[in-house]
Amino acid sequence: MTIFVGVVDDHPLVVRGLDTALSSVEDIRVVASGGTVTEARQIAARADIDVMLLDIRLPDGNGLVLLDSIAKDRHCPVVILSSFETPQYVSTALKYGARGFMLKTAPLDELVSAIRRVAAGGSAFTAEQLLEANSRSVRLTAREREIVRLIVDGRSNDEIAAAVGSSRKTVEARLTRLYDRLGIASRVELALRAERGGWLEVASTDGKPGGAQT
Amino acid sequence: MGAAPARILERTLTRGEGFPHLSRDALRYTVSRAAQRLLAVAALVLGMAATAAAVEGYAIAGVDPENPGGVVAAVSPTGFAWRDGIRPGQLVVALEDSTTPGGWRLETTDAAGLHTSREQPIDDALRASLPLALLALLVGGCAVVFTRTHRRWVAPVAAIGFALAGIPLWLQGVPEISTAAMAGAGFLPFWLFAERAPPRWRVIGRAAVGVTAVGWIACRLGASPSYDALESFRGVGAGYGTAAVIALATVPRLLRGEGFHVIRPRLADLLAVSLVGGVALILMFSVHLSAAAVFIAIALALVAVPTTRFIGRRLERVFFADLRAQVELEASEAERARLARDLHDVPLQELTSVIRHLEVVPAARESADRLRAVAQQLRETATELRPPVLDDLGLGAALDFLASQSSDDGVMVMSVVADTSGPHLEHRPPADVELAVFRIAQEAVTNAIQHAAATAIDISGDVQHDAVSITVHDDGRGLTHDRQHEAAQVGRLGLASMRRRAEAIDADLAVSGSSSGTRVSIRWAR
Repeated sequence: MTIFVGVVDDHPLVVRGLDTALSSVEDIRVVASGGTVTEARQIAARADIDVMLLDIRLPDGNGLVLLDSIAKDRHCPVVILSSFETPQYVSTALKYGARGFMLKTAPLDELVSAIRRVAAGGSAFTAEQLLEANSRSVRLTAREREIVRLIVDGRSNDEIAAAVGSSRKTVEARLTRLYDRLGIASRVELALRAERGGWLEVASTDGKPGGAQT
Repeated sequence: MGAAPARILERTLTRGEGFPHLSRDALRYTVSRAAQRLLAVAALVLGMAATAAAVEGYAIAGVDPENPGGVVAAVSPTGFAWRDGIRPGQLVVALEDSTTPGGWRLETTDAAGLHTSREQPIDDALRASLPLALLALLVGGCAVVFTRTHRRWVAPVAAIGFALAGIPLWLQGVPEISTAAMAGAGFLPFWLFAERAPPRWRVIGRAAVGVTAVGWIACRLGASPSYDALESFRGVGAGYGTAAVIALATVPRLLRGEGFHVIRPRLADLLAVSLVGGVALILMFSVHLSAAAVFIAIALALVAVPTTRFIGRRLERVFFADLRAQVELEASEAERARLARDLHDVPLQELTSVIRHLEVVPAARESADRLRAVAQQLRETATELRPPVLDDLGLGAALDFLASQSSDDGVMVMSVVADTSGPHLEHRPPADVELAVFRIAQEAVTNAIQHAAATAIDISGDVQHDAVSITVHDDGRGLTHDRQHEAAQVGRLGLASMRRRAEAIDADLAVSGSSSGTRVSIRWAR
């Protein structure tokens, strides 16, 4: 079975390069290409396209914004091909329903296996990318983490206030804000979610991502 | 513009590295520089002389000559009678009307001898020529300034100065000076015309102009009958010639589409020249000083021109420093954005395409990998210039990126910013606000790490399309009020640039510190 691929990038050289590289693979054929958000929208709506490779920076807009705007419509699976990769890009792509995120310079075999996986109905995000993106969904500041730790230990607000050296009012205000942000109703729920989600352990793994993976 | 080649030549000459073919140019350059200076100084001196002459028309005696009673009763020290040596208490020897109507002659005597003062009838035309004389003074001053700034214009401006100064001098009846001035005004334009002629004609033309000028002065002073014919020729020359020289310097350039060579003297220079003129005027009108004294005063004032210019620049720096810093900041941001965009648009995309082409050639695998490393370096450089996350995803994501990038083993930077806007441009704050807030947060994080030895830094707040509120809070050695003040004074810690950025987007910036950390808050609302 042949996989039909659409490519959207505003640099003709990049499109041609992708075309050359992908046509060397037996089961993949580039059947559509474009350079703008408008063209991307048309390609996404085509029923005969199995996977669309989409750039972020396009002359008439942003590929990620397009993805969000067609989220409710039926469209072919999209893999974002970006010039830059940072966890922020990956989590945004994930949030808007992309099926994969790759650097434009990613090796061909990785690109091919991503296309195959997505065409088969799977996801092309790597485990690393997913972990990084998830660790971003619940985040606590240093002070919040301290408070959450004390709550998990079963301390009262007065005890927490004494431990962190601030007033009870301040602690309560912080907790209220935290509940609002995370959609949590009680301190028991907070403690449970913190323990299950491993919130208190992420501290040292939040190192330098900075788009270092090429 | 016109001064550039000359300056290069000057540098070459003082270095003495020897460009033999330049020696003739060097000589010409030296001579023309000397001639320009001479012309400029002559124009200025004539301007002074003309002003002094015209002011004489306003001079008052400061003594009542009608006083018949043997002894001079009172003399004003600001009048010309005082200058002539008349003092109160002197014996009046003679008081008589002069031959011209309205004039008189006063003779007094004291222990020092005889003193004479005379009033000439006031010449209305001379009085009326004062504006011309002042203009001549101003133009002469400009010619001197132009020897340093706009050399091409020294000679034409000096010619105008000569023409202006010649009129009051002529009315006052000083044939020697007015003749020389008028000669200069008449013949200078032709001298300049000759400069544009082919080399051989240039020599002949200049010789002709020189001989005619000298002959004209000789005829004038010797009252020769041929003077009248030459005078009419000179009168036409002074007017049309000057206009033609200026037109010649500008019109062909305009026709060639090179644009008008605009004279833009520095504000400080014009200020200095006007100051000289003003001081001269006050001295001659209110104090009735003699022309010689005023000349000396003007000469002193001219010596002060460099000082005035120096002070002017200092003032300019003090008053406009902030504006300049702001403009520089904006220019530098624009330049960074342009560079980052160029890196992304051209080399990075070209590399991507080359990598794709190499990949299908099995033998070139290694080269493709090497090029991937190069692409990564380009990405890092572009990111450092301007984080792509900020443009592509918005402020919230960019602050998150800042936090993850600034964190390392010793410092934990956390960004918890509620950003409801996301990458949708229409839901985001204006780009300049995003950039300013990002740079302020970046500066605050850098300060906390580098100067306050912080170990935990929190970036919190929220971002909406019409309101942004971000706080950067660290646990380092805080900025106490004193240290903050001190830091701001020596311009360290980037506090000044943070403040400037906040001002540029009309946002409130609050920096507070205690021993337990520093808090930087920025608040913007549409």
